[in-house]
Amino acid sequence: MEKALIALAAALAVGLPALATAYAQARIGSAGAGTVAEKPETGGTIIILEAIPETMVILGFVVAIMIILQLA
Amino acid sequence: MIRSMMRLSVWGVRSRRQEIISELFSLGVLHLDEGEGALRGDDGTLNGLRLLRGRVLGLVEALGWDRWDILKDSDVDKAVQLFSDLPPGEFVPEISKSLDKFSTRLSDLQEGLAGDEDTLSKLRKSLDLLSRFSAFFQRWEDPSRESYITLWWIPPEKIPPFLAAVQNDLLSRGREDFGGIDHHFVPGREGPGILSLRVPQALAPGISAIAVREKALPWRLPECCDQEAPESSIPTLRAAVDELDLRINSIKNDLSENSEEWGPRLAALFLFLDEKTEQAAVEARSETSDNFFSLSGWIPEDSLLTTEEALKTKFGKDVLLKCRLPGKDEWKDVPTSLKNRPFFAPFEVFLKLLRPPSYIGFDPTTAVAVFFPFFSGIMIGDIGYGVIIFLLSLGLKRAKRPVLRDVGSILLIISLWSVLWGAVWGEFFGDIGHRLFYLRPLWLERSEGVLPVMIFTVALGAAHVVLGLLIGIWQGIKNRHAHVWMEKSGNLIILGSLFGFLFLLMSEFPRGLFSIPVSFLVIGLVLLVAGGGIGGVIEALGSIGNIVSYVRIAAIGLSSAILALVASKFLDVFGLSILGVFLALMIHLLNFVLAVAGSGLHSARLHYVEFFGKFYSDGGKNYTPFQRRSGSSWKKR
Repeated sequence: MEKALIALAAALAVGLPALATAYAQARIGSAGAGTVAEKPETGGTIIILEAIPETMVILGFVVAIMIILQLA
Repeated sequence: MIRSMMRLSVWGVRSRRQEIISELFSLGVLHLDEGEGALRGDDGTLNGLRLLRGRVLGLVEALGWDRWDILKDSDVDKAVQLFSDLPPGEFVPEISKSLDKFSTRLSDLQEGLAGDEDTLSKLRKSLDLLSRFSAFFQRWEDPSRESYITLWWIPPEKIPPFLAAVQNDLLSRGREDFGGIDHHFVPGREGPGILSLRVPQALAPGISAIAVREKALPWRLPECCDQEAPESSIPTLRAAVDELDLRINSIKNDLSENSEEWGPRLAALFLFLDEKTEQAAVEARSETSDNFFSLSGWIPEDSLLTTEEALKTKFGKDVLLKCRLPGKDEWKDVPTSLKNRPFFAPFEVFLKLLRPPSYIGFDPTTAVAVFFPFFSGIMIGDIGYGVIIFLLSLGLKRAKRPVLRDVGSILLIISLWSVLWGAVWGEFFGDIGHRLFYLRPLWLERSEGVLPVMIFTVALGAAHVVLGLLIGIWQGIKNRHAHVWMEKSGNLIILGSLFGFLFLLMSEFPRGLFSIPVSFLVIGLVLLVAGGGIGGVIEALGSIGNIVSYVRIAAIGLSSAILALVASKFLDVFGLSILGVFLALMIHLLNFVLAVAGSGLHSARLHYVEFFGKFYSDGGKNYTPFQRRSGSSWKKR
């Protein structure tokens, strides 16, 4: 039971930030698409802004790995 | 490396202004100030050129020609040679005159085509409609010609009263012998349809009055067969349609031939006029007196000598050049031109997504050339994938487009690092290398040594961020921006003290030594606040997050390694069957695409956000020298 809970914790640690990242990037992406359509020179900035929320899921992954290592 | 620029002022005799400007255009190194002064002394030449240029472009578009990619510099040179001896004031009217005839002929052809197509459409509609009545026509063929067919537009609900009125009229004329009113109705898509009636000749005068009363309109045949009866007009209509079709095809062929023949010539003429317009605009903007003119701009220092020699050789004493280095207050106006060795030059493409670095900034191209493929190689980390990327890069390096050749060069270096790190992780298409050739990792397998790889990537991130901060400090000192180097130094010292804390925590040194990193922390904070204020403190905290962000290198690499293992598992489950091999190949293909795309995207992101954020100052201006544009960018504006 304990192992199952630890595994669940690891899954949540990466899953919830992934959902948050997806939501953030969806909003940024749609706003960015409109911005780039009007001002193509902002394409580089938009790509950078689009990539920034990924830090959440990367850190969630780190936590998940650390939890899984405990499980191992 | 950002090229050093000089401020160049050119004075020349007014009578040779056009020649001097044309020579500067050919040399193609002088970046002129934008909108320098108002237009002066424009004698209508500039407007004439602009109008003619627009007219030629309109003709190119009217011809439907769009193969700008096949035009070469030599095509434009031919146009230049034709008119090079004439000033714009003379060749503009000449070209306009010859274009008059051409555009008249073209518009006649196009109007004729439009008219014929319209007529053809109407004929086809009529033919289609009459074809739907052909069975009715054949059923009631009347060689005696005692009756005839009429066609009417009528709403469906009006048909019964209309037929009743016609019947009554027949009866009133004593034509009970005619029998019932034969008719056929073809409904329209919406509203009225077409009603065909067979009526006796005797009824002919009265039928129109009945139609008006019953709100029916006569349906008339097209002009080509309006003298014929509807039932016998179908062959005539078909012949008219065929003839018109042939004529339209002939006109289209004619237009297509014109487009093939004249499109490239007019396009080259447009480019020639575009160049002349630009030169005329520069002439109009130049400072002029009675006998002299002058204009100024920025020129790379390494091009100054050749420019001076070329102008002096051609114009001798008719031109005077003065140059100087930019002053401090001019740095924001100096355009930024990058020049890197051929090995590093392809990586300049990464800076094209951002505003150029400021003239006094730092060109990070070399750093990107070193670290970007390195990070990508760690993430991909597979010998097999590296070999495929290598082959792909060789193909791309042969491409015509310079951007693709640059991408090929970048992929080539990535492939080498991928193969190297594939040997470090012991991966060849996942664990296939281990299964077949007993391949062993030089360090460890990514899927098993997760924590060491994560620590390694975080250490890599720390080194990269520290490098960024060192560059930022150097920039601050070089440009004498005290707040910049103080803030970056403070940030660096704080990071260093944190590393010191960690080191002391993990080691067995006496706890008394903790005072050393604490002292550095305090010094760092003081410098940070002095240089950057509260924003600097937030920036320092952000640096810690930036370093941890590099763990994505391990994360993406690990996901790639595990996906490759999954591909091998399919072989274990399905064996060396067609299905097993197919599924394994599909997984490897997916993994390859994700690895290449993901590694590129995340390496780029680490550079743009975590690395450039420590030192990159944009706000530079693009270096756009006064020269002939080439490639697809010379397309119509």
